[in-house]
Amino acid sequence: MANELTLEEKSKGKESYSYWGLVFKRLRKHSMAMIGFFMLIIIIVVVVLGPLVWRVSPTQQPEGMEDILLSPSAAHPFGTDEYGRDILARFLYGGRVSIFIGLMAAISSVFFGAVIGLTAGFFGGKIDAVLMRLVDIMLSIPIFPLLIALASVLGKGVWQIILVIVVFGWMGDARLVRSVVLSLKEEEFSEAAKAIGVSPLRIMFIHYLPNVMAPIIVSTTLGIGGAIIYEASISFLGFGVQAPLASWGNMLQHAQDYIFTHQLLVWYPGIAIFLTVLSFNFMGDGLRDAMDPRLYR
Amino acid sequence: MRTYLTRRTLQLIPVIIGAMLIAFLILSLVSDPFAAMIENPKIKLADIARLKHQWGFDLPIYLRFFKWFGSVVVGNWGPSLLYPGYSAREVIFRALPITLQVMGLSFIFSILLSIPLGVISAVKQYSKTDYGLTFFSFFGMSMPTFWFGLMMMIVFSVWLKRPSGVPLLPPGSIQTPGIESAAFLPRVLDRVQYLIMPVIVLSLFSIGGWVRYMRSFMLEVLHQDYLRTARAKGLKERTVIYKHAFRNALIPIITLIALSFPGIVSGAALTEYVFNIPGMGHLVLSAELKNDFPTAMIALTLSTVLVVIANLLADIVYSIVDPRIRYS
Amino acid sequence: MEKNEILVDVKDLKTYFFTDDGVVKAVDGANFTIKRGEVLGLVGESGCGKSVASLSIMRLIDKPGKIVGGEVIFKGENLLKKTEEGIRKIRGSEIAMIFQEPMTSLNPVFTIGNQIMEAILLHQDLSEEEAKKRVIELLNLVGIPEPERRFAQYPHELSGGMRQRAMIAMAISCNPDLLISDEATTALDVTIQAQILELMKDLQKKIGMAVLFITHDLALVAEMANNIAVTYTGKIVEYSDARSIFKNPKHPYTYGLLRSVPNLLSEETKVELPAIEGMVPSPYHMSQGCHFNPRCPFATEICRKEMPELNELEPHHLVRCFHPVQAAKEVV
Repeated sequence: MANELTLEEKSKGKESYSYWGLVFKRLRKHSMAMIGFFMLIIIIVVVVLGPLVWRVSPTQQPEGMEDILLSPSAAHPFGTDEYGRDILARFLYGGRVSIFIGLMAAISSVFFGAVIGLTAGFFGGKIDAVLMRLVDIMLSIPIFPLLIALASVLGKGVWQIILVIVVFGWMGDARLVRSVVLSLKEEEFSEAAKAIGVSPLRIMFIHYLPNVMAPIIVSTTLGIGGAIIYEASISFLGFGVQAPLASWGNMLQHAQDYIFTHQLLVWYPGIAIFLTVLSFNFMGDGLRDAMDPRLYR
Repeated sequence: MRTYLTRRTLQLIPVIIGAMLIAFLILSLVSDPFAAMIENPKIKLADIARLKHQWGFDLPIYLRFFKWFGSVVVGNWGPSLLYPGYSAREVIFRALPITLQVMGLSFIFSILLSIPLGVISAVKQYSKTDYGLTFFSFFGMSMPTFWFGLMMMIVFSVWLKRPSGVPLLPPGSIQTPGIESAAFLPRVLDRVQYLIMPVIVLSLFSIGGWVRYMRSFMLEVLHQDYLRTARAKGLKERTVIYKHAFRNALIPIITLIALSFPGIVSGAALTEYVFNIPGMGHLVLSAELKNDFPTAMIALTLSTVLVVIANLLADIVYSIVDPRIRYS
Repeated sequence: MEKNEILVDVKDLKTYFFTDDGVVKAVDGANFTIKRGEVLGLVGESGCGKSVASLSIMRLIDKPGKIVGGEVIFKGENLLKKTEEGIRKIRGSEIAMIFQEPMTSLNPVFTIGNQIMEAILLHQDLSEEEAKKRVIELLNLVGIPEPERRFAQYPHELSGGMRQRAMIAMAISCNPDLLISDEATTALDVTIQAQILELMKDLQKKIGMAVLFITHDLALVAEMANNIAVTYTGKIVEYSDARSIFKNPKHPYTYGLLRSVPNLLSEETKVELPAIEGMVPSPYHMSQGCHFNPRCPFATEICRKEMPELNELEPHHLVRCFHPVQAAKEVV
């Protein structure tokens, strides 16, 4: 009997959750997502507030040659790089750049991909065929070499990199959104809307978009990690963010030459990238589980 | 089945052409490829003029594409600018087998590792093994490949040394100088030691993602009704999982693997660069860095063809594995 | 092998599901017996534990469910106490089960011939050749035309009715003593439903197997069942032979069910009774006392406080109710 009372109490509480309320509830239970979340908070705090606390210039080069490649010390907790610049400062400022690029690139790719996916899925027919053919083609080309080519063409800089990543990153989201739209089209409310005479744009943005939001959010979160890695790779090869501006990627560029002697140069930016991407991935995965209608628990 | 395959093959042709077009357009935007050529004393001006005509630089861009396309298809690939004195074809075909080795080994390694791990992770859902494997797969998915490569080099080439003082694993390149004259077995063993690190590095990212996906495919299958029927027949649990369940999970797994090809080819380029392996990816990147437009184009095209062929093979395997495709 | 020997004796079976939101008592003290060659109809609306009871017999209950009490005596042995290997030997060969959805219950990547053969090869000592011949015999027996051709076909190439026939073939392949049919006809069209029922009746007589026929549709069990057990929210509320249930229903729920199929009730027993209002309660929301009381037109104070026991009102006619329907008798 005691069982049944508690059951009733519990079930009364359950009724009142909205969709997003339920999502957050599930999210809190997901330990990996929470770890990712806290890691991310720490990283962002460090990167945003860090430069305000550690007021050393990341670009200032010392006069003589004595100060290059120093080991960690009180004055330079992470040491100095091959130009004598303080690594910690570059690390903090570089973090801002890398994360910024990652965020912007991911959001833009998803946005662009979603628009294409919505259009292709909604209009169907020739438009769909052409757009999907384009997606197929872009997906078949090995992205990285082309990424470099485009990067070299557009010149090197933050916005250029974002553009490059977007040009090669929208396809996955387009496909995803398109398949959601196709299944939505089958639903009855689509026919009803069309019958009433709602304009296509309105159907696309007001009716379909909210349903697409869940996978989009997941995709964006996971995409930020990927974009950060792309930025790092491009900068590593010398095509991305240019010195004296720092990014975690270009910090590794010259570190390669010093792996036999100064391994720390490789260590710091890499770990930072890894942990940041890891936390975005944890969160993205948690979000995906939380928003999945078919929970297996 | 035959019609299905013919149809798929025909669909691939426009994809290849489209890919070539896009690569062409992008690389055409790169500054004048002839600038470097003119400065190079080894290339005669007459040759440059001839090339200009052959590649259609005297024509507007759309016509240029067709002319270039024509010469590529015929096999007329011109000289290599990266390695003057050699034709583009020689350079590319020297790089191709190396890339195939790296990618092939990585591919096999990734599949052999991720399928069992993904299946185990699903079967033992929520166990410690599952959490461990899940953590490992996130690890793999979040690691920038080139950095992992550098780290591995630090560990295996800088910190760990053989008794003779030489690095445990070579930090780059593809073979020990002078090994070409040795017998088959020593050559193979020699090649293996150079390939260990690049293959592991290239595979890590794939394995991370694949284990995760295979786990979820397997989980989805594990909830199907036909497994209940199989158990009701009195089958051993092991048979239920490895015969009935796994066979069905195989279908999305193949799709996943096929979709990952472009990523592997792309990742190979960066891995080759980090480990200084003279393969196709390295070739493309070097060619781009040094404005060898024609070689880069052709190498890119070949890479795309590789991907496309691999996709076709995947389709064949797919139709074998899923009878619903075969008989519909 | 005595004709009247008791084949299955389920005693006080309890299967509970331990979910994050609470404990669901899917089967809460079920008692029924099936004799050799008999057909027992287990009737009730969706969600009242009939499927769970049958899965419990086969010990096919998975987390978060657990069989927490009772006994299932089959041919003298308690199935709940057998080892994993022991119960596997029985599954498919002595007790077989067919399910509701033939499309999802058959593995899409293997041929139906292959799947049926698997059962045969597992339990019987036949060569592959012999097994294949047996499968074709079976396909014939269940009324699938062109059995040799169908042997090599995949489930998606067969119609719904044929798939169910194939499932039946698979189930009877080893001549089981008991066939459990869990809503096997629910997903089929009405005409196909009738055919499959005919087939099952036919086979039952031919092979002499007992059948536990689970359904929510009383009409289906009318012709086939010897005995009928009516269940509601995990408990049996009425249990008697088929004739008594139809002619002399005692529990208000049974009465309500029968009433929704007008032709079943014979003239003499027709008494004015409103249709059953409401729906089967959520397993987390069950009321105190008799679970049926919110919907029962005869409910009184005691019904809301205590759960009635299963009483033998007349010989071989058990009812779980404080106010069993007596009206039928009065009218007569």
